Amino acid sequence: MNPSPILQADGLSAGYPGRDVLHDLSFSIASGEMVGLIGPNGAGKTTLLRVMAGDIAPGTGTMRFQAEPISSLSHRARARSIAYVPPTLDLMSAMSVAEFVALGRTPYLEGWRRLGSGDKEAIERALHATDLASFAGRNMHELSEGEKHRAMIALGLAQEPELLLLDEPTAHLDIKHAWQIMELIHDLHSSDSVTIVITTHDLNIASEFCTRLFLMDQGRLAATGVPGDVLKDEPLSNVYDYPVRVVVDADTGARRVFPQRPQWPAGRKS
Amino acid sequence: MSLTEKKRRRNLIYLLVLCPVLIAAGVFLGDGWREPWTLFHADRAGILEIRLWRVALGALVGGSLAVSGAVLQTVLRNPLAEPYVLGLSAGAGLGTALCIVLGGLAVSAALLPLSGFLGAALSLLIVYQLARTARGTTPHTLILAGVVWGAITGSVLMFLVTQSSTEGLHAILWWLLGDLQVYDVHLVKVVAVINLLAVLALSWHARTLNALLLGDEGAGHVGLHPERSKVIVLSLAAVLAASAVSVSGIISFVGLIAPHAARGLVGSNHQRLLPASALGGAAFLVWADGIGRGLLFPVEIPVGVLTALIGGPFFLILLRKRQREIWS
Repeated sequence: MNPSPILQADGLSAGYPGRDVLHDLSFSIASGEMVGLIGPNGAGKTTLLRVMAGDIAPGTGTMRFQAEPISSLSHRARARSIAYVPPTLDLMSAMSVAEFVALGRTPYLEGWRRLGSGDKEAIERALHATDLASFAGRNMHELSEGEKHRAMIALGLAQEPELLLLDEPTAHLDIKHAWQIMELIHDLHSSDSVTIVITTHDLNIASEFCTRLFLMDQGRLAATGVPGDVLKDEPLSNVYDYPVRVVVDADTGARRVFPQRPQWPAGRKS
Repeated sequence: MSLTEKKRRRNLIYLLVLCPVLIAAGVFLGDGWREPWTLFHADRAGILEIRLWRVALGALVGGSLAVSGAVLQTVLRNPLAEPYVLGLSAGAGLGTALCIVLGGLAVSAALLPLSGFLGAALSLLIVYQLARTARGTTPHTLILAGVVWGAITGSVLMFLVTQSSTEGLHAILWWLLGDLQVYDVHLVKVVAVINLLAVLALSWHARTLNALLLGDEGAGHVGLHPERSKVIVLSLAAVLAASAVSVSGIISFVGLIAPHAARGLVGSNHQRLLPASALGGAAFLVWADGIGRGLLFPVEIPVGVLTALIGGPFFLILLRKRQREIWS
């Protein structure tokens, strides 16, 4: 049988005041999966991720985390189980990388209590996992974009979550840094069995690293399944409203998506 | 320019040692500072006592305003936030003056800081609502709202002054400029207790303040209830500013200078920033007051005039700087 789901949506609709973005979604994500939310701008990827994070309460239907409706969890309980890494950081302060990552321990600490040995270990582990151990004493604003993103992931890891949500983890990063970040996330998924959900516009990254993809279109799930099932010419071209061709590399089996420029003006005739 | 965490920790220790010494040395400032030993002559015992109270009040008010400013800057995500600039002090002044006019002082000394708090809290609420946007407050709209609100409450306050008895007029005018003379020892004690408790409560919330540096959503993601947390810490900041105003009148810019200087020395971690701001603000105000009394003796420069003369240009420099440069 299926392992018990870590996330389960039933008839979920959600959005912002006066504007529903997600319509009647039902799905479940099993513990240990690495799910990629893909789809065009405005499809509802980020909104869905934020419902999973508990930022947005469902309008109708439910989103459950381990059988518990997320909106019924306290902020603190939520932060101990679910970490959310935003696409960008707007940090107005002078703090070291270690201090920044230590903010991930906030849900475990209260008042004057100092960081305990368990807290320090969690911070160390997070810094190591993100390859930032040698940066601990550096200042946040001295970091490059890629390093900053790693620090944001480290903050999430310091929360010791069972579910890690990453919104556009590779936006603004060049190929090297983007793929390195994804290797790192993939390692967390495979070695520490953290369940991971990411949103991304990079279909090649989605293909390479995710165990399952949700192709979203106008707030609904157009297709779900392993990358090989979802990344096909027709559904992608329809959902993205632009012709694409999916090519499977004969040597490696890697699946890559190529946008196709319409033949102009010949394309118009056909 | 940026310091390592180790240096920031060390700087806090320096401040913990240096500031109390500076504050204590404040008793020698003013008339006779050239011959400090004479202060301990038996015939000047009265002066020593007055000076001790005055230094204590300066430290109390300076520390309170500085911590209040540090908290306002963090929570409103605005480097220019400060009790005076945001119109909090004027609101507290109006509340306090209304309490005096209505005879509240005869009922209980604690009514004065309480009515000041109501005025400050209401001012903060109004100014914040006027200036808020989805991403927090932009520096300039918040400042504009604060200045205009300060002008409105200030003019009502002036009206009250013109309606009050003539013998009280000079005292109230002096108080509007900010004054650290101790008129009511009992009131100072009440305010000291209130503000000590408020600072302790804020230090208990130091992690909350640190998490708020991530913004509302980021703070929510690490387990805070952002709205609730903000209401708590902003209320405490309003308490600090209002109580300070109820004993010293309106003293400008201390809440701006001290936290920025402290941030430069010990960083943004509130477990260090709050004590550093408190001590720095206390030492700064004690010395500003001492210099104001001694510089042109026997003419006394009101301490509010001096802090404005120092703080005004400081504010203008911050205004011209880019957001990112200020915080790092």
